[in-house]
Amino acid sequence: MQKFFSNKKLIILLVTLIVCMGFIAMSVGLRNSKKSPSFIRQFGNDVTGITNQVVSVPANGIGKGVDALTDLINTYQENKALKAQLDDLAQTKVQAQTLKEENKNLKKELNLAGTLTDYTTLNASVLSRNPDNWQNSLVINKGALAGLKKNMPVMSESGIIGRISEVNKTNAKVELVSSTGRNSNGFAAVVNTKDGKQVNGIMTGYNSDKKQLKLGQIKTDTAIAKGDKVVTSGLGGLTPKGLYLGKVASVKKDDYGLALTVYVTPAADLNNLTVVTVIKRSIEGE
Amino acid sequence: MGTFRLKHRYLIPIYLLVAFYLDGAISSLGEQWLYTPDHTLISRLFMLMFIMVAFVLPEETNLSWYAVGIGLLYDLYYTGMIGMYLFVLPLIIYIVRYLKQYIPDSPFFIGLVDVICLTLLEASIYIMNRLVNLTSMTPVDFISNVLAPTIALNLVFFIFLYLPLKKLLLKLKSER
Repeated sequence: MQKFFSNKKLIILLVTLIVCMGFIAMSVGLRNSKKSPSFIRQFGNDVTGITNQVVSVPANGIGKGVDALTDLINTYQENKALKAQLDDLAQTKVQAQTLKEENKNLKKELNLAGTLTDYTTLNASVLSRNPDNWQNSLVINKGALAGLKKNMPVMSESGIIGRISEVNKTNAKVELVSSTGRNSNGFAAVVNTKDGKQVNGIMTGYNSDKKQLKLGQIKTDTAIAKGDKVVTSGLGGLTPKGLYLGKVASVKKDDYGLALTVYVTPAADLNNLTVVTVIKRSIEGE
Repeated sequence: MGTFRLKHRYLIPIYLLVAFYLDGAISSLGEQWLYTPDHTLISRLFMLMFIMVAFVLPEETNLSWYAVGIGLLYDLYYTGMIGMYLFVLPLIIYIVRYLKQYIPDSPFFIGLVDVICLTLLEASIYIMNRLVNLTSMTPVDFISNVLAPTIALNLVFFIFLYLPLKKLLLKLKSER
């Protein structure tokens, strides 16, 4: 009968434990730096991503079928609610179109090549999601070959969901705003209050119990009300201006009574993502 | 009864890989049900597959090495932090393969081993995440919100998949 842990094996175990701890420490360092992962890691991830499609493509197909079915069941009620909004929407849409056109012409006249609001989009589908939820991350099927870069913001149809944390050649990891890791947060945001004023802030965290984003360290006298819209401000990083984040849920004073913390209900459903949109800002930042 | 020989041995890593990918697919499709503020259900089909192979096909001696492979893949593909699964997974599989000789080969005990292995895996991953400050969840919250629901989900998988998996794996065995 073999001995369970002979001396030799115990030493091997200890050495591997130390080596693995070293690896973890190294990887944490790499996450916070801007460098892309090394060639070997990229290659491994690319191969995994491509073979993953064998499973994820049919699985996503089934998922879409189920979604379509649930949509069908909810159709009647949704139709009623949507009809009420429709008239208003057409008017707003035409107005937006006219303004966009006008804006474009004015920019041309001023010889402005690109401003903070200009961006192009790129659609990608979700390959898989990290089963353990310590870092809420997705793997999407577009990578460096499609022009993705680290820290680009990622949206669903309704609002920002996170940013890209690692880019490989053919796939990329997206870290959701709901994860506690620091590099997913830090979107520079602006609150548009009802009386037309703007309040700048930075996203500092996520409250997983309430499913709300935290907007911290705001020093202002402007009254922020529940329901005010929060969008990105485009200051710093690779995020353009005017991406919808969510609505203000509540406002609290911080522990010292000096700054405000604004809780924001995210517009996007962070738990139902099959297709995401990566935003590429037209003017380069940093 | 002669000695058993494995035919189509190369299929075992492929099965493990498919189980690994299915985990990702299940978690990305079932997001709305699996991840809520109150509970997190982690799908661990690959763990079930490993244990089934360890019990049904003890002739496969490379299983710990496959665990190294899957662990590395998991780290690279999902978190980008090498070392967590790479260390824990092979260790668990090694212990299972060693302790197998003392455990009766019945569905009940295999399920029990599955539960114990999941507890070991989730707990050690949680502790490592806690060490590098990626989570601030308290141990009590971890047990009630993550560990217990995960074990429940994987027990359901086990109940439904035990017989099909056993049949699938026994096909790889041929009598000589």
